[in-house]
Amino acid sequence: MGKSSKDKRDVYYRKAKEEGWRARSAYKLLQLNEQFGLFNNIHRVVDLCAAPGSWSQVLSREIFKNERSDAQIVAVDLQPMAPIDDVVTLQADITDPRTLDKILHIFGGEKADFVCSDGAPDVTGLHDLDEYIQAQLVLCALRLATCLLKEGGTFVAKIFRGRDIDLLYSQLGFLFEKVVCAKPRASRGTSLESFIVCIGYRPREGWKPDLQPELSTEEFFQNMDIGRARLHEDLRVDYEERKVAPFVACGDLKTSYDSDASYSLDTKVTHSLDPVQMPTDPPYKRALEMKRQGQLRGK
Amino acid sequence: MKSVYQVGPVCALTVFMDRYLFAGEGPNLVVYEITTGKQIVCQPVFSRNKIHGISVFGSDLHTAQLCVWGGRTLALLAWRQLLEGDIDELMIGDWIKDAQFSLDGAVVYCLHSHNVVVAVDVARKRLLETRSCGEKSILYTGCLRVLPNRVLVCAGTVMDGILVWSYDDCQVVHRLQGHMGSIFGLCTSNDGRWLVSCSDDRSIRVWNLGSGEQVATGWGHGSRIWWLRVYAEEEGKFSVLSGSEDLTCRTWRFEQDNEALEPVDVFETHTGRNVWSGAVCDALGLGISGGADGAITVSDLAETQREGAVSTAWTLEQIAEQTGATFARDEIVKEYYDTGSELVAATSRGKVLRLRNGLWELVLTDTRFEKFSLVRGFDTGVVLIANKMGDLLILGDGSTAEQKIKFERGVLSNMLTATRNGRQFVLVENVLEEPLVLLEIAQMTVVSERRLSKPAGKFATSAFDVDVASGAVVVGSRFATLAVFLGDEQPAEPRVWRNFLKGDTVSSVEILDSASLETLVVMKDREYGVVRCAGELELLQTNRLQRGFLEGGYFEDGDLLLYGFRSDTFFLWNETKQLELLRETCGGPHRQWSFRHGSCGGHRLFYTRSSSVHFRQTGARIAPETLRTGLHGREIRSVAACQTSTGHLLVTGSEDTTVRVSRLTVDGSVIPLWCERQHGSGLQAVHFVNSDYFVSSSAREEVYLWKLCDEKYVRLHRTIRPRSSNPETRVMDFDAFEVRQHGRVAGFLLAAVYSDSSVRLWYYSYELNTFRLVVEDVYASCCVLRVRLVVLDAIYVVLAATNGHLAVYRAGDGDGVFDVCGGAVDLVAVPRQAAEVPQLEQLLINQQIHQSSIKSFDLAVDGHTALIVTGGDDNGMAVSTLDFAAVELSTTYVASTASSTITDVVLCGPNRVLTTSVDQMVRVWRVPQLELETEQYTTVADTGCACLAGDLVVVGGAGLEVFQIDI
Repeated sequence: MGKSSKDKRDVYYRKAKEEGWRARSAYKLLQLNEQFGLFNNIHRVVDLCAAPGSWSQVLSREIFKNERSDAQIVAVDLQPMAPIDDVVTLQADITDPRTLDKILHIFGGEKADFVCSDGAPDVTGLHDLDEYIQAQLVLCALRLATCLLKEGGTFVAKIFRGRDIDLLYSQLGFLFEKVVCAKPRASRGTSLESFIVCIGYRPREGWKPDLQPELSTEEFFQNMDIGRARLHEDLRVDYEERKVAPFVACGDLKTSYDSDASYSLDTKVTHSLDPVQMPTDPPYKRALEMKRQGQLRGK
Repeated sequence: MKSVYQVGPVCALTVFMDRYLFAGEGPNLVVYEITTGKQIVCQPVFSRNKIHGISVFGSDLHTAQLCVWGGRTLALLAWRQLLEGDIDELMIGDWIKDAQFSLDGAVVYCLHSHNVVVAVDVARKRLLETRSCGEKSILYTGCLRVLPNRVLVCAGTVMDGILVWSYDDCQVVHRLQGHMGSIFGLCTSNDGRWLVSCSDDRSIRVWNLGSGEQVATGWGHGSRIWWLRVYAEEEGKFSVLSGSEDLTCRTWRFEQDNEALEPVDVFETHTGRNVWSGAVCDALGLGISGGADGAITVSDLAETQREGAVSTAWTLEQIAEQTGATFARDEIVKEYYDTGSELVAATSRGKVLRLRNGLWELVLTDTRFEKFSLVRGFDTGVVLIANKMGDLLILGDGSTAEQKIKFERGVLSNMLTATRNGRQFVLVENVLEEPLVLLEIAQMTVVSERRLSKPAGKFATSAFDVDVASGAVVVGSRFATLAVFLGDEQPAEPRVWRNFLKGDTVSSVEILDSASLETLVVMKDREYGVVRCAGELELLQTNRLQRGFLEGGYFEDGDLLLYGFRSDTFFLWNETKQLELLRETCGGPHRQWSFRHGSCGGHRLFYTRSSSVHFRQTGARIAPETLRTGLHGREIRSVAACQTSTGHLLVTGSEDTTVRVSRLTVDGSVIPLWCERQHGSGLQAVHFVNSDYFVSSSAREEVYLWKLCDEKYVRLHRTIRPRSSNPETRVMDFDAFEVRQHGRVAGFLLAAVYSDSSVRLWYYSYELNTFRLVVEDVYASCCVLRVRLVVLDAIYVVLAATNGHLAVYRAGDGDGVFDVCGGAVDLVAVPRQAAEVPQLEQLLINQQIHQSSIKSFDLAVDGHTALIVTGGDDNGMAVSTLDFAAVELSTTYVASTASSTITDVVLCGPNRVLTTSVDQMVRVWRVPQLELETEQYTTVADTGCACLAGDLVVVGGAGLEVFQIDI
């Protein structure tokens, strides 16, 4: 789809470009904040899987509204990110224990109030696999969050509301006082995407986070006793509790746009705005170039 | 609720003993005999998971041990247990990427998505041990190779290329760097010496596992590549089969010391998006693939080596040498006809050549046939050559006869031939408006001659057929014209229909039924149709292909086959089963060519390229082309059913922009009939108006009315013209209500709702075949998702939107067009085409029921009240009572009725409602109390829609499942 037809179809895409956000997902975090007051009294914030940086932009603009803020924001991603005011960007792997040390060092050894992740995997189109990988990505972020968050802290992450999302709801319920499934109006109704908002971190009693490189995410949570199935000698299928988290729609009906609606353009668009942040080089860049030059031979 | 049928992504295929195919069709394990296509067993293995992989150990089906996996679960079973359905589900605790038996079959090694190998004792079904190389990064893919001296693990990471490690000492052997992006597919050669890989970068790479070097790269797929299979292994050489998001499977050849992985063949046998799985039957040379469309297709990787296969070409010099003839410098082969066993060709200098058993001979030279000649013929082997003057040579087996076609004036412009019941017919056309001449030729002589008046105006014959029983002749012309001559009167006067289908030239006509003159018509510009033309022309079936030019079509075993050209290739396409049967690069359509279809392979294609005559005959098929037919290749967004004399007709609308019409049998099987490609965007809704008509809607303001004919054909009957010149809005849903005039049904009202919050009411007249806009309004600024019409003392429009509101309007009477009384609508005035149409009369109720989108609702009217059940994106349901008289809506809302979005709500009977939700559950509730009566997991992901068909429930999403239900 061309830039301008996307402009016409997607009101948030258009608005993001006009207002200088690097991605339309900025509005999702703004609407989540509107609903839950996520940014009240937070000082140390970690944005995981942050590239291209729209959530960090939101965090920076909202938290530093009052100039005297002493807040610290760390944005982590494997991809490089253009600088954002008042945000420390780290190009690092969130599964690497050294990343934890780096963040804690920036925070002067203090724990974080807020950890969020808007990360999504390479979506293949195989729903069961995509949902599994997304859940693994949430667990990856959660693993770091359990090491970083102070008691009572907040964790927000993107989820796909598929067939096993109730397992994750149940397991998160062991770690937070309140677990809510939130859908901002900026997120399309046709998309499986929602956000898990976990408020009031309660570290498991008697369990110390131990971020070792040789432990997989699955193994990290194994002794935490949050009801995840595990590998047994007799390979039995564990019963896993399923729970439905309460649903909350975010974004005021009257003031926010509907991402599913078609809006006619307010003014005649004679030229289309360029995105604030151009996309990075995709892995298939060379294949595209070869195709353009007619070198991709078929038969 | 019992699952009786499912079609959806096929994620696992394994060939056993070069004879059997083990296929994962959702949670079911299905075993086929490859060469006969016979299904041997179909058994569910997992309660929830789809089968993602199958390994088989043994040397005989009856003593085979199976290892089946999907998600985190595993099943180990003997063949007998599969037959009996005696299956234990085991848990590996993480997503399994590959599982392979040890060489003695006692152990199964499972590689999971955190790069850990879990070894399982097969006999005791117990964990032996787990091993890892210490790096537990997440994997999209991985493969195991069990060798006599070690077990090799190849792990495809997201960021770090490929890790190759040895299970025996847990040491990393190689870190293979070179790909960009996530690794999606890996496969080693049998001897463990080579590894092939593919990634997000769309390349295929070959690695030497001894040295860890990248030795070859292949490019060609236009999208992501998902899997690879190595086959035809020789010393330092092998072939690769790959499957991709671009819908193709390709074959490649690797030879040591060649840095290019050479592309060999392309097969396009799936629709929609993604070919998810593949396997190779090495001994038979067959490639098998499973798609997101649920189809399992068999491609012949060794077709050119099969019996009867020919691929050859002759230059003019070679033909000269064989025939001993001398060709002039500017002489070319102009025209030819393939009898099925030999080719007769004419050159520009009047030479007539014959190709028989691979050898050319000069039959004769006749200067009367210089410059302009036409070569046509019959299935019987008789060939005709004509020139402008009407000289006609008849070439039989070893003899030649001559006839003169006499014209009053003008010259011959075209000659067409048809063979019917062994009888030979010729249709000759004059450049002027002289009558067409229909000849019948028997024993090399003309035995009858009829004059058929040439239709007035633009007419140029391009195809014809004769009905032997009645003598009727159907002639197709350029300028999208069809002429039919009935009976034997002289000269016969035609009935003529112009522009009955879109396009220009009619490329082929074939009479299917004698009495009604049911005829298959194929248009060059991609359209095709079945018409009935004994009386008034009736379109029974219309459709089009999306690309290329159609040169002809025919029915075989109930399947429609179409052929033509697409860019530089000739193709043969099974339209019923939706797969390509033949693809030949020939340079494109603007050339001399001839195609004759075979029955089981044996298709013959002649074409001229660079002045050489090419001949391609496909080899005999050794296996059926499909082991199972598929349906939509992308998510099904709406489904509707209508009862017929033999079961139901099922209509499905999908994200893949097609509307499919299928037969739903009494036992729940779905047999595809048509795949309609008229929509230009993803479908939103399909609903029946009555047993003859249904409507579909999609983005770009497309609302299409379809007519079903004879319970087997479907045609696009009428479309609603978009209101805006550059339509951007989606038509989310619509509802129809029949309207009477003078006591008889005259049309229907159609209420449509749009993504820009528009609400429109149209009146459709059966007699005029027109839609007239009668009411137009805007609800709010949000997207309206669903609508229903209720007719009591007035027309009411009930709608649901993304704001979670249910709104009820009184629609008015369209400024006096309708009279509404006692639950019926009568047309009392002719709706005018006006610039200004009335708005909805009054918004009676606009009440928020759900937090966000009401994805679906259903209602049942009783007197002046309606029971409305809604399902939302907020996981909740509500039961409401709407009192139209008192204008009151009272609602009971229940939260968390599902763990994800409720996508469809279907009332079944007076006190039950069925729901589908994205948590892949189908639930039946008692209403109004909303008590859960039963629930059933469905293998259909992105579960989005449902409909009832007798005691069957059809559920659509990423695939389709049919349940039997007691209601």
